[in-house]
Amino acid sequence: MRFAWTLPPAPDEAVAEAVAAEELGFDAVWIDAGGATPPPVEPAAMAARLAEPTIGVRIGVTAAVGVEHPVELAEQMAVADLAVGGRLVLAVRPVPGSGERLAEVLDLLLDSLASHPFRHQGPAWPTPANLAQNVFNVEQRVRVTPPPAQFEMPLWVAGRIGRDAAVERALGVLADADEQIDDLASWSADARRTHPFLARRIRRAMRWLPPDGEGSLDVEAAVTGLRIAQRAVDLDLVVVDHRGVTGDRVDDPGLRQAMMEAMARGVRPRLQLDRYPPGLEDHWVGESEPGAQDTVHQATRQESRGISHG
Amino acid sequence: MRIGVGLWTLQSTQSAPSNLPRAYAALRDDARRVEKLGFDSMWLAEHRFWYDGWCPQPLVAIAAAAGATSRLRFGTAMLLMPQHDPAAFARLAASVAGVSGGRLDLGIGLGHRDAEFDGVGLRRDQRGARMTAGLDALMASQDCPPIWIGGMAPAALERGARRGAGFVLPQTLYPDEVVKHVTTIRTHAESAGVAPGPIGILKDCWVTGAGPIDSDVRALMQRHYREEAGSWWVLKGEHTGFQRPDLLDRQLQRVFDTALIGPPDDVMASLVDLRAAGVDLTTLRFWFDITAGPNAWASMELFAREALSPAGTLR
Repeated sequence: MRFAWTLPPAPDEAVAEAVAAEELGFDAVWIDAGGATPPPVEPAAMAARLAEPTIGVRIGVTAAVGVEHPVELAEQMAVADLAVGGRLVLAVRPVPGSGERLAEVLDLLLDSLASHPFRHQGPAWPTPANLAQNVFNVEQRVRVTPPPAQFEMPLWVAGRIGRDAAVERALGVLADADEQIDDLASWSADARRTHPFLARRIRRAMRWLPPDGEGSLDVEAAVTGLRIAQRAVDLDLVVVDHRGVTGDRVDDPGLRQAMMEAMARGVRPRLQLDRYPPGLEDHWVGESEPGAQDTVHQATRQESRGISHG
Repeated sequence: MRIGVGLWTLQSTQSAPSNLPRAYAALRDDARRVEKLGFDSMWLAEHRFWYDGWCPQPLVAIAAAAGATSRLRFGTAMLLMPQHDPAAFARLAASVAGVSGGRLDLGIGLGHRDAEFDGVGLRRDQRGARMTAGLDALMASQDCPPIWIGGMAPAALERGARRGAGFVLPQTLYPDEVVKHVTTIRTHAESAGVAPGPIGILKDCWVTGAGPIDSDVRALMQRHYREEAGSWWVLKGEHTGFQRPDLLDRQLQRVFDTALIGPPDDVMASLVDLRAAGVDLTTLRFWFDITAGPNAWASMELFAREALSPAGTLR
């Protein structure tokens, strides 16, 4: 399982946290305005701004779609992907009321992020439009340039709306934090039944509010909860949203840093094992987790018991 | 007078093939180097649907280059604003100004290719009206970066001047035309009762005396413009340049007459004239697909040494 850290909206803080998350071994950082329209910072600008201070961390963005021309978004994301050396992951979320346009958005994005000339018939965005007033040297097919650095930029669908459209195109899904694991599990089982080959290609990601242990991350509850989600949905990526713990202390960077550490050293390694070899959890707690010993120790004990008996 | 350099376009052309991911990584190194040389600003251009990948979203590229620098300003000459949704455009501009710490100069122009409008469902013949609407949306938005309007059509000069916007005059003006346009802009601003905005200008430029391609540079620029103008410019409203070589030659002649090519003292003298004509910012275009690289750096370094003040202005 991979882990992503959701960045705060202020650019300077976002840059600092992206560097910290990379140093702590997060697989990705995520730029998501959380449904705020318009977003405080355009995701393409924020993503590209991370080109220099980060080196290897993947950069995820959740972009609103359904109103503006998808070619515009494809261009922005292609340029951002080139700027960050092919590290971009694009999740799209239809703005309220635009769900029925999502299939067209996805098809147009897929064509625009490839490198071949295409013609898209519409209905919302015929491309090229071939308007009668445009007469000079117009094209019958367009090639959106430049193509991204990646041959296949990950294109995911965020939220519940349009999940069928994602499955039909073998696109990844990014579930919202308030979705029930049981619902996701039943969606996942359905996808495997109706699209047995495509479903295997679908990356499953989930936004996640970490459990609050009275002011700090509850590592035990986090490991237990994510283990259940991992097994039920074959979860590939957890996008951590610190607001689960920070709540009204959302502006406390020290608290966010402590949460990042707890995720990196307490939660993440445990989720990479389906079973703990005897003695490993004692070694982790004793050697490298001063300060987190009690809760983590309990968590691993309970986890390993549960696993060996289950 | 502030001195910027341009124009970075991030193309992979027939004359100068380039691996694009590498070119985008190099943009950050180039920005660092421009900053170190002491220029005021670095300028990028925009077009979409070009065979060579010409960067269609230079604001996004600027956001990346801003992360590699701390003082250098970034400009666009030009962004083709009528091809974008006005509100989304204003948001992206404000965002890039934000992530760059306020180091953005937003140059905006109309765009000229029907195919670029048609590909995103817009009519080219409505570009003027869209420009006006976009400009008003932009200037009404919070955190609006400094705006510089491109072009020299009477409507463009009046539209911008009456709003107190800055201008970027095109590189192909003769000195007397620069004076005339500056006067026009000031007159329009005065009659609208606003303070006139700053005047910028582009200039194709090569300072000789630093490298082995000095004697070839006119031919190289000619090859660059012949491809661009021959393929994509519309001459007399109905021909591409290659269809009318006579018109193309006339257009290219103007390009070369007005370029600043010569030893440092000659280029300096031309810049002093521009300053006297009321120009506040000149963006020198050393950087073409076909000149980019060590030779352009040598020429820019020579210019910086001879002509720049520590503040990035003309000495």
